[in-house]
Amino acid sequence: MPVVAIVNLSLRSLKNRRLTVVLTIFAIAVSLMLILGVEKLRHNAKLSFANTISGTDLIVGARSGSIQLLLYSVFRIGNATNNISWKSYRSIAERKDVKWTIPISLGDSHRGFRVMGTTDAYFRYYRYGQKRTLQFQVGRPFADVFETVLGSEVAQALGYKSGDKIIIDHGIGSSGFVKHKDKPFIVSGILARTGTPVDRTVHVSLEGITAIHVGWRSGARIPGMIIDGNAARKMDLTPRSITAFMVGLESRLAAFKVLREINNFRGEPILAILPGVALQELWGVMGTAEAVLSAVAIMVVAGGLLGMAIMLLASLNERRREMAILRAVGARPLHVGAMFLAEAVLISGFGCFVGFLLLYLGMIILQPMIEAHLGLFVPITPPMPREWLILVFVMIAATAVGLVPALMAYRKSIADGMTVRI
Amino acid sequence: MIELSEVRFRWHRDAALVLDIPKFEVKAGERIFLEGPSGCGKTTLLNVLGGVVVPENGSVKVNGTEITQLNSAKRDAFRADHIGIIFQMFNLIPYLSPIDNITLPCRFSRQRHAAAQKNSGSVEKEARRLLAQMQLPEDAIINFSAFELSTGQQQRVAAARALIGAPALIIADEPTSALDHDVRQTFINLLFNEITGTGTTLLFVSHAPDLAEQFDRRIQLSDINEANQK
Repeated sequence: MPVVAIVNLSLRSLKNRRLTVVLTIFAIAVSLMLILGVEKLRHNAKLSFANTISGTDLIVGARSGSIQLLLYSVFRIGNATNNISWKSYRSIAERKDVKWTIPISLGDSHRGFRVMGTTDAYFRYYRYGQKRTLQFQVGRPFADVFETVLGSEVAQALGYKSGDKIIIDHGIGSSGFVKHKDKPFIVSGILARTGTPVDRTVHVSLEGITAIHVGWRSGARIPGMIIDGNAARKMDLTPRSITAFMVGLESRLAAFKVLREINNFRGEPILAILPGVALQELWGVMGTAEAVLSAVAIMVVAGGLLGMAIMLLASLNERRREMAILRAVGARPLHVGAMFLAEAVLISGFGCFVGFLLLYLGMIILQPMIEAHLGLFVPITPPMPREWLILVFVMIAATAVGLVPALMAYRKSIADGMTVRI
Repeated sequence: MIELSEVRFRWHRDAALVLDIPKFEVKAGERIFLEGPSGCGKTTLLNVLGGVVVPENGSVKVNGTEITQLNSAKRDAFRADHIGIIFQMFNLIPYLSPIDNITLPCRFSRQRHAAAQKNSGSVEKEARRLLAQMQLPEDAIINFSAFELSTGQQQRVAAARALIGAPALIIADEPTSALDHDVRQTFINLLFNEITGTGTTLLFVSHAPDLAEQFDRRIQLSDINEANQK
């Protein structure tokens, strides 16, 4: 008996039981969509995570945990426990093996977005993704003390354009009831989208950070002391300390040596980390959530396949006549079993196909929402090898599950022979 | 055509004998009317002849082949090649069209596929020819599913299926018991018309004695089967 004939019979039999079959196909489709969707999100989250920073050999901050340093310096999450003195920073920046440094100074915010003080070096040397530099959507880097460059999301969310004036809030937090009202900043440029925390950052010069804090002490305005922008401009605005800095080396090979030397720095307790290693550590922390998500998706697939097995098993009794007729025209019990197995494989196959359609449909619909709410860009790409692998595993599992009704049909078919039992 | 000797069969080791047939022979081309009340082993005998079950001892020769010597796969293949079967009712697979129901044996038997092809050019053409032969105009039933046909129509489609590819033996298990009296006669006439002159052997099981006289031979199952006769 040719395989074609069995598959043909299975197809027509399925067509005859349209409603339950379609529902079962749909259940499998949804479960496959979920497991592939989770995989796609996971993959892209990891990718965008790893792409947050590149080309930086070391990140240096006050001594704390490496993940904490990574979080506040790169992801703008949490706060530094301490600062690094300008003197220490300069002594490292002037090392022969250091090619460039990007100092960063954090601590203020603008309507919920973090403000970061930095220098021109940031626009020249900062890299993300596949060694991409920051590009300007409009305008140019800040040139004056009171100029600012906005991340694309900041500009979009708050509706700013080049030339607008913004007031920086003192401290972090969206309420921002203490403001640096006396010294507004003018938007000199807006960066192009990067898909990294840069998009949610308000960049100003280090001098700007110093300037807005002139006349402040311990986080509060000194009463009666009002120094306006122009007066501040004339003062020495070299910062006394910064939060952290990024380092690019002349040779990457020296990274470990420099790392060790910075960690043994005599002047004050500072910490240098390799961003790649810290990123790995951080992703490892999130690994549990990732595993839970995958486990849930696998359970849903198992549920879908179980539903299919139940559907086929339930149909077994009402199809005993059909099985007897097939035996009478010469089908072997093996053929009858194979027909049930073929039905399981066909249902799962259709389910997977529909699942793929749903996945891509869902991605087309949800892509902008995911990007807007989670800051995660999920590109619509053809399935990756890992997704094909999942598909293969689902089909193997479906076949294994389909073996149960197939075996039952086989045994019933032997027992009943061509006797029509009802 | 059919030679049974010393055939004994029971369903379980501890159960009573259902068949105990010392001798039963049917010549090629004979039309046999086999009668007996229900529960006397008719269905079991048909299962033995069809090679679905094997008796615990004895010899079963069908069309010259000792089918008790074949393994189950070969017996299934043998049945597909040599035997056409018509059941009492509900003969058709509901999700197949009448034509597909008729051509079903040709999917399992190359021999019958080839025979059908040889006769009419293609399996489908042969199915249509048999439908016409059974006086079922194709356009009257072609668009209906099996369950939309009347019982009489269903039985005629079943007969066409048993006949396609000219198997040597047709086993009809009370094919007319669900039919009205006059429809019954038509059915038998059509069946006879098709097998006349082809040498096909017909084993017709029924308990309607009035049909018996049209057959070459009338056999009471209780006459050949010694089981159940206490």
